[in-house]
Amino acid sequence: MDRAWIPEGVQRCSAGAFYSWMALWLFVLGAAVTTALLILWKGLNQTNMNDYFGFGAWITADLGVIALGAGAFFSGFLTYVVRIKELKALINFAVIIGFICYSSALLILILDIGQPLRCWFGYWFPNIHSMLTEVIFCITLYFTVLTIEYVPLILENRKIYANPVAHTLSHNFHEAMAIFAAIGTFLSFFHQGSLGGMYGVMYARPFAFREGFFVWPWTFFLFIFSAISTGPTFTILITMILQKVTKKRLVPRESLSVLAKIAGCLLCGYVIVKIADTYYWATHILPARGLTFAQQYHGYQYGMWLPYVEIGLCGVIPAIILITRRLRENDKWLVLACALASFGVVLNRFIFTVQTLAMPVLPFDKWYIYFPSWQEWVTSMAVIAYGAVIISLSYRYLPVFPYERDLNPPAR
Amino acid sequence: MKLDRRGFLKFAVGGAIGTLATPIPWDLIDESAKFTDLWAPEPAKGPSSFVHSTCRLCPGGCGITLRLVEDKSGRDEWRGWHHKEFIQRRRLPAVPLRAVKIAGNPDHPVNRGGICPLGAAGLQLLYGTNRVTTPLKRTNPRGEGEAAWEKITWDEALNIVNGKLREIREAGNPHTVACILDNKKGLTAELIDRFFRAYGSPNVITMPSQEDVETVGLSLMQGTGGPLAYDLENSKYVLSFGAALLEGWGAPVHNMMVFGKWQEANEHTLVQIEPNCSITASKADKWLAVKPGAEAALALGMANVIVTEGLYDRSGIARCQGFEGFKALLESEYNPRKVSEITGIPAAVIATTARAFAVTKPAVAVYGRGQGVMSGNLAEFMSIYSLNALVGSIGARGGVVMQREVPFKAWPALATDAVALQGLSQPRIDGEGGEIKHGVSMAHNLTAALKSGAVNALVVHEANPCYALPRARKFEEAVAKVPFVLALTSCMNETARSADIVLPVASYLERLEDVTSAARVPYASMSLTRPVLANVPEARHPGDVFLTLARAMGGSVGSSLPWDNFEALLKEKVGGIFASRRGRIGDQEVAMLGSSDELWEGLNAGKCWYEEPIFGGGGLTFNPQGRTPRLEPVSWMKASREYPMLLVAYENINIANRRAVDTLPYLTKNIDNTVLQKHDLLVRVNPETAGRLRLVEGDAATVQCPSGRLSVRVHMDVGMMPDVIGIPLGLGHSNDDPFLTGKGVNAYEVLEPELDPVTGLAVWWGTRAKLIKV
Amino acid sequence: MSEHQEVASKEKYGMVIDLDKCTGCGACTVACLSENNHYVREDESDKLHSVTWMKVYKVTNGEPFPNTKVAFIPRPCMHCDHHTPCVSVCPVMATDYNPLTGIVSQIYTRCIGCRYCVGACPYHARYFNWWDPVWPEGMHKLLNPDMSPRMRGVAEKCSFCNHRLQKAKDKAYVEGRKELKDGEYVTACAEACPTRAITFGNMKDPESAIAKLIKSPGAFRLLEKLGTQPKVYYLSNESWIRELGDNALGRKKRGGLA
Repeated sequence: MDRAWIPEGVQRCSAGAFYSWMALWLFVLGAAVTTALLILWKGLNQTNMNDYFGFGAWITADLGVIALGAGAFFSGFLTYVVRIKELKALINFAVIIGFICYSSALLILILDIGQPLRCWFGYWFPNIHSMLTEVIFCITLYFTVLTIEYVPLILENRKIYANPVAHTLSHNFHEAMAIFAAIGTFLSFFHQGSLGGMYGVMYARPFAFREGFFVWPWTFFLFIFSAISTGPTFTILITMILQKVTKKRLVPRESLSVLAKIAGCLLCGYVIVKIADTYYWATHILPARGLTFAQQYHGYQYGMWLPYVEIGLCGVIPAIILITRRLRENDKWLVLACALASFGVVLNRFIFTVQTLAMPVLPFDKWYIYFPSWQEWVTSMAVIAYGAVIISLSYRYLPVFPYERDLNPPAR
Repeated sequence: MKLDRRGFLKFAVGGAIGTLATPIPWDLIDESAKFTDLWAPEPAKGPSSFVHSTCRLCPGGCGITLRLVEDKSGRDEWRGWHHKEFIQRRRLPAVPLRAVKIAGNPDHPVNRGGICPLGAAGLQLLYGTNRVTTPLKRTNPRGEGEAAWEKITWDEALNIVNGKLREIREAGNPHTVACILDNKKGLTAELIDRFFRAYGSPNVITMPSQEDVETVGLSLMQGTGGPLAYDLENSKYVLSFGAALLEGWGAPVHNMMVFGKWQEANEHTLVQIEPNCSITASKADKWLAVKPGAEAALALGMANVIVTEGLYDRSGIARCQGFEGFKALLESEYNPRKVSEITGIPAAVIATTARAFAVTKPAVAVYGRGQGVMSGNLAEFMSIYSLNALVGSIGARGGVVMQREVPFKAWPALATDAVALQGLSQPRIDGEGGEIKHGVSMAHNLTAALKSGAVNALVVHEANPCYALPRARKFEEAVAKVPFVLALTSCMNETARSADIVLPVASYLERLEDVTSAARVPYASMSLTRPVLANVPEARHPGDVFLTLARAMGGSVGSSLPWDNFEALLKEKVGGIFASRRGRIGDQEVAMLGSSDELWEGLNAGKCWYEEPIFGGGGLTFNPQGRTPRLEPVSWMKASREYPMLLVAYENINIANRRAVDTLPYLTKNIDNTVLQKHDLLVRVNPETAGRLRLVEGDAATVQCPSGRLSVRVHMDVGMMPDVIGIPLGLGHSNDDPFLTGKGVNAYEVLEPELDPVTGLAVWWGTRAKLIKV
Repeated sequence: MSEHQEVASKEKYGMVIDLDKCTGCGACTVACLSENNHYVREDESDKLHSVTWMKVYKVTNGEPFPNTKVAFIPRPCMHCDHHTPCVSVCPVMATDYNPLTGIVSQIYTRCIGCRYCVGACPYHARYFNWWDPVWPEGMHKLLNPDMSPRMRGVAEKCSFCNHRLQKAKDKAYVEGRKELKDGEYVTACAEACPTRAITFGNMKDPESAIAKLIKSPGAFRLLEKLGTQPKVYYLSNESWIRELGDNALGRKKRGGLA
């Protein structure tokens, strides 16, 4: 019944099946929206954050999705600026993932601030010394760019495209895409960096403090590096999942391999830098503040296993898989590597967010445990439902994958 | 007009852009931000003024300064009769005021500007949600579920009370009326006492206090009833036997002020003798962790060292009697080795401490336990107090002194008719002592007396025996048997909830009253609480209530209490101070004042009258009536297999304990989460002991005592003596205060009063216990 | 990320707390709560949600019985003088370092509640309003007219009773004086302290009590190694207490929260 809206020459499931599938996700999304309204109405006492854990699940989720969303700008950069033509097959989907990540980050941020009605103060009374100001500006601007990148794709829907205005608009957008990709790259670089900078500048929080790279907190670069190396792995991961769910090959394997190879190389670099960072932190920054590396870890939740999992299991291992041709050509290994890398970057953001605050700086203070409330879980996890809805709609109605028709010739 | 799709789109897009060009969206955004500014109330502004008064929330009697602000919200609080009179008398501008801050008064000699947390929170009593706002009459029978109340007028209430009292008196049973007061200090208490004596009842009984045993001990040893005070400020060596000097004992702020000076001068030594690591013990120069209940034995061990080494003050001893007998006792039973066994303190430490105490002048030994609510037995007091005689500190600067009485004008002779005389000749319902007869209250006997039906009417004035007597619940059950119960209180508490009639009395910020001589402070002092404002217009001065009742009752009662109101009485009393020419008010000698009115004006301006003590060598009798202090351990101190541990109550300066007020909301922020977590009270246990019982921090447990069980949690405290459980007093209320009710458990319920056979007074500060993991 | 501009000012306010005098009674906390219009919730035992600008930490030397000792560390805002951690991070300039007085204050109507400052402060001196401020019926009467209560969703902190400085200056101005006398402007906590453990004043006035006290041999500040340059100093003659003031390598950590 929605045939006319579905791109020409591709196979899609029946409307009934599709809407049943959508109902499931919309139900989850509805629950999350209700929870969000509850939080907006009652305030942040609905969370398990407190005066020690001013940041919690939401900031972790924000930073996580923004890092994972880096696949969009970085693929754009590779496609339009470096002009790696294999990635054309992926770029639309990468943009959609980026759009999902950034829009959900903004939505969560609105929940996370204590005074949502004052959110615009960030533009009206900006403190140019604050890393967070840079984040606010760059994220919103880049979200605008992502929207501009996403809109032409929407205009390419069969029905909409029939409209001459949409047609012209879409065409013109395409012409300018390289420029937007370049702007996006610039903005993204900055806010990925300033997100890291947010932690690196907290010089009174020795767990996070990393300054001294000229005038920069070097978490600035660590965050960019980790985002550009793991963002693409997330794009690959979601593409693979979508292929699994639709039981179709949507992008040429070669495209995935190219991106995986690039991500692998970057991840190698990142892991080396991260290990160097950890070493310097443990041997210079911490001792200068009277602290030892061992004091930074405590008990189970904040135990010494964290850096091993983060850097070893989710850094070194996926890096090796991705740079090893034989392994990355194998779908299973590729999925494993991408999943590990994606999880690793979220874990990294969690550690920077929560452990920084948990580690008692006052010598007589103790460690406290933070565990998110159900309200925080529901709203954070809603990102998945939100992503599923956007991806499902886009996949069904928009020509997301330019090679889909070629890869899946209509059965006779 | 036909609107096609394109037209619609144009309209929508154009409209959107057009709207952005108008101020509407920008104003909306701006307004929404302004709206968030209103999420918090904005306090009403107004000119402010400062008045001095006196705090009455504990026996410390600090001078306070209240900050008042014109109250623009214009409630009708100034319409009460109380205030109309007040305005007329003071000729103050009749603008409504609200009080916003209590600070210490820097000119008051007791506290010199400092204040304690309770005093600083006093406005939460004034404005508290738990205030009794009108006279209340109970509408359902007592002892049957939650109390139901009916608001009645003062006339109705006083008629009922008057009728009841009159009925009992006319039946010739005035002695069957009992009255419970917190203490007998101050003119209001004296007036109430006088009311009941004129009425014909000897049964005005005060709540238990450490001063009870002191009064008996002092009258035996020195022939004076006290009140005992310590010149801590000038003492160079202070030996405190468990007194919580820095945690609310005596006049808390005064002591802390003295402690601050000690720390600056660096020439004072404080030795704290008590089982557990209290704050005072931590802050002391030396803490001797004596076994619970063995403090007095340690005192005798030290006395032994001082006597056998000849370090005692010979001229002082010359003024004493019974030294030989005392010496014989020390030599035969309290040699350091034996004392070391009893106390757990090494003999060498006993000896060095004793020597330092004897050679440092002036030195003083302080008898006490906690804040001064819990008491020990007579022998303990005598043992510790004797140390002062040995080092010549009785009546000496830096030693112990007797507080001089405030030279109020004496009460006129009591008019007593035949009924009154007959009633007064009856024995007191709480008994008159043990082997020694004395007049000190023995409130612990009230439960039995009430149960026996000896009491036809019970009047409770600003006290909470249903919460704060040892074995509180038993007392509450006994109260249910009394035919008529009247409570005078400013806040609803457990006792008021057991009453037939509740009368709202003005809080200390709403009434004019004397605060005499801060507890344990060496000089005599008197300053006034002043009716700064009337938040509860219906609340009356308790003195006025009893004067009104006396007028209504007439006869000997009426003629014994002829004053129009409390203020008239107070003014007349103050005349006595002027006539005595004694002391100073502020920086002025009373002798230099022209008239009593000048003194009265000064007091009403918040100034404090005070008088230095008379120092002079005093002596005592070591063995009055041939009794040397022979220490017998209290039965519940002896270990038993069933109850291997000792439960010891302790007090916390942030948990109001049996004072005129309960813990105020601000103070709940100060209660550590190692003491109270949500609704659970945490007992303090040594980690070693806890480990043996397989308990870890925060574990739920039951404290099983011979007289009941308490559900608690466990806090592991390295400063606790092994096998001792520390439990705070003052929690576990069941009043209507949402900030307090249902939080923790009431330790008074399990504390076991053991009677000292010599005095008949209760010894109660602990009980045997067993800690069971839940 | 520059340091605060040094302005030619004769004032820089600070505090000295003598830990050997402090008995942990909490009068300072209550005086602060009362002065600064704090509301109280029915349960305040969850200390991570309990706003106490002046928080008194109870610490122990960690020694077993009977060598145990406890001490108290009252912790107001440190009003960090160097690159104040909470000021530089605030995205909307809701936190302000006053170069004329050295006082760090919070603008509640500006704050968006992002809590970056809460995270940046190592002293836990910053608090967030998780709930709407509510006073029981009638209790709003005790609100100090000089201080705005804070709305839900904003951060707050000790302001060294900044409003009292304004009052003191107004008074001096009326009396024709340009400079304040020592002790004319004090915080509510210093005013209340029964042992007189808290001294507050102008550190730039060489005659002030505080200027002399901060030169005492037992003076130290919390977490000096971080370089925040707190304007709150502590005094103690007890080495175990002084050791709790900062992290140190190679020291066996014994003491801690009691």
